[in-house]
Amino acid sequence: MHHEPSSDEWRSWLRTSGPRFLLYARQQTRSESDAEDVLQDALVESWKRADGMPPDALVFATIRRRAIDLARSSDRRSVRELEAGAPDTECFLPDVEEREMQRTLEDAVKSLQPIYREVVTLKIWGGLTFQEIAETTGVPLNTAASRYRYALGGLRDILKGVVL
Amino acid sequence: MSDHDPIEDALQKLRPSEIEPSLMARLSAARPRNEAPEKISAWREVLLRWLLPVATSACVAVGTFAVLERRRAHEPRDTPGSGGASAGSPVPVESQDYLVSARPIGIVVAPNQQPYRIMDVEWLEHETVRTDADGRAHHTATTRREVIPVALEIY
Repeated sequence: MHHEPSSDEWRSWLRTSGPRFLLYARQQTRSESDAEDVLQDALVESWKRADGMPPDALVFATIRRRAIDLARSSDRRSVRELEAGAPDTECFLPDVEEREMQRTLEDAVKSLQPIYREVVTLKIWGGLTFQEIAETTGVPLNTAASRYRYALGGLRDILKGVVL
Repeated sequence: MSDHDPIEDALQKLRPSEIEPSLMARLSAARPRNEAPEKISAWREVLLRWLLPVATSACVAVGTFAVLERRRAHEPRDTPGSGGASAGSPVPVESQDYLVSARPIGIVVAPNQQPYRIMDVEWLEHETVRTDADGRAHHTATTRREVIPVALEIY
């Protein structure tokens, strides 16, 4: 018997944290429908495992594991190859005033290799610590931190003259 | 890493897209729920806990009584003053029961939560008797019907 969220509690959690989880699910899957399936399963599983509102790190880790399971069950291509094919969806809220800047940033993030984009996503929009990122992605702490620095360096090169 | 890295500041201005209403409805419907045990209404509880066990017991008692009566009716009656079986009375030498049919009637739950399957069972009794008078074997066949409770295994 686990803690059952009330309807309000569940919807409030979906409203506040759902967009960040969906962003990550989209990056980990190949299609919007896969992202939605993975997100739903991960949210429910995480809540049950935590016996209450789960920590964000657990949800991200569950999304990641379920996306890999889905990719493996879909076909035999390597998971990394599948991850590279993230769905082409509007992942961020449009900002009318800075539409051009936003598109440039988004394109720059998308151009990162999956392992770097993943760390940036978990750090910037997931709000995870490097320790949590390391546990979520299954890499050493130093590797997570260095990937993040490397990703920022790459973005800095791409966005030189635009943001800086 | 500096807290004021312009790249990080710019990225943090991007806000993930809201969840579409259709997906929100789907996720809302997926809310984890405890699988509560089936709520048993009061009358159903009375039926399961008391009426059915009592009815079953009554059926078993009636069935047993009927069988005993039938057997008693087939028993050779001693004549007054004979002091036991008469010289020509048949002596059973062999008896075998064959299960003809077993039909489940239903399941009841005893007050101790032990479930029982109530079975309507029909037996065919083959009996061989021999009389002292002619020494020949005689075969008789009678049917017997019982209503019996069979305890179900619970885990």
